[in-house]
Amino acid sequence: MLKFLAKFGKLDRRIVFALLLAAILIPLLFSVKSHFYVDAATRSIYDYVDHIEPNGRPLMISFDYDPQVAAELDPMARAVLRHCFARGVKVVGLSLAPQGDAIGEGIITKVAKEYGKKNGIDYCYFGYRPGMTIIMLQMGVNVKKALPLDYYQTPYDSLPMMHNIHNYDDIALVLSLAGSTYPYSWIIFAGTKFKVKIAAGQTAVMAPDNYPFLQTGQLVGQLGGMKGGAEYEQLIVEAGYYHKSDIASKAMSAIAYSHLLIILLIILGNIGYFISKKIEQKK
Amino acid sequence: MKRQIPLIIVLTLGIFFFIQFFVPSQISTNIYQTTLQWTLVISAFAIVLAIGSLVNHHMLKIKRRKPHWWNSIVTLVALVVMALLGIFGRVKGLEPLGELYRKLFHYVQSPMDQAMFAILAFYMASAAYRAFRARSQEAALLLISGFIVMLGVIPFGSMIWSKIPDIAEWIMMVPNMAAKRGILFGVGLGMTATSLKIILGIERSWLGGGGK
Repeated sequence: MLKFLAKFGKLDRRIVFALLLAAILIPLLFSVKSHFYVDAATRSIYDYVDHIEPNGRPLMISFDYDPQVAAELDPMARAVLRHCFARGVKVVGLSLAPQGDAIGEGIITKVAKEYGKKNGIDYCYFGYRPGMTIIMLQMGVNVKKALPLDYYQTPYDSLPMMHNIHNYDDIALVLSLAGSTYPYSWIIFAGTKFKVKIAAGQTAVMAPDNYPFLQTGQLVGQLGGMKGGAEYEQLIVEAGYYHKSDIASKAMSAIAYSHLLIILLIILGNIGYFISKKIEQKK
Repeated sequence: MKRQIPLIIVLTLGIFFFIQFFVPSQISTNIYQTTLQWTLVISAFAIVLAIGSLVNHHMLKIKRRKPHWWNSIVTLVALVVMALLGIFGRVKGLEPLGELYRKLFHYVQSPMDQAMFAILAFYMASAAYRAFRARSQEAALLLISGFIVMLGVIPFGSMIWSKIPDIAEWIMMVPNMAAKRGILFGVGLGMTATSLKIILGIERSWLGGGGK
């Protein structure tokens, strides 16, 4: 029996891979649903967006990420956009990461279509702007100079929605969706210098880095990884802004089971490790 | 002179923009705006340099028939095709090219990138299984806190005990944040010190030649 348990300490990695694949695929294939605890950081973004005046100052979404992390960040973007469009909150989209350009355009136009929103009137998308921190700083003084043309090459002045937007004072909230430290730069160059409210949507790996900024209030809130997206989806469905949960809620089941598997594997690995150690000591 | 002129520019502009930050006058803001435009133009040169260096690297690989040189052809073709489609796809009358660019991005590049990243999950699971062993007291502490945080983010955590998500949040908000704050404080001080050293000309490695 002890020898059998000791084997758990040295499982072949292909077995680990196969078990993980099963833990991910089975909940996805059988649409296993799960209800989860909503993080305070997610709720604060939701509450903030919920209090933005309809047809007033817009929400700015910066798609600062590449396709590698799109699985985690796309659902957040869709959920926040649905919340905004359902409430009549206008949206300004842009990207400070080169590959975020097409990602942002795809998401914003798709969600806008669901709500019958019009480009230039209900939302604007400016695509990728090179210069990162320079763009953040420039928008604090003059948004038009930082974003002279939209994604479709329409001049700033021809976009009715942008007529009253001059600098960050005219923006209700900046939400940076990123798999790296973009929100950190937004906090420094836009939040601290120009006092605009900043929120972050980050991959699960990056989210713990932002806790100091949540405590100080430099971040209004944070959506962390797939869970953040799923929580936001749950909140907008509960409030009646959208009719059904999207992909993040479904993927959360797969994540839950895969986490559980990893926890079990770690426990088994430790049992195997200590038993092997005892066997060796006896020898 | 080759080294002194850049040092003078950095010293002058460094001090000027330090003062500018605290002067909210119109003239100061206008100068700041113009400089931001200059910076954007200068940063555009970085793209030219990057593309030049990429093309050079792969052309050499193809010329010298280095191992896997055919991959370099794929890289160069992809670079040219995506760049041309991206540029001309936004020109009025050539919209189908823009559509092709979007399709190539969404249905070729994006899934490939995501697949590459997804593979990491398997390696991470295998690494966690192998590395998370309670070999010492510190490792055991790490293991326990890791367990609680993992359980806290999944629905099973609150099913086991309703307080687990709260404990996970406390771990993130208190011990994790204390450590992060310490690191950030150190990074902040380091950045300030390095910036001052560059502005004052003490740190010269950015000029090339290892700071000599």
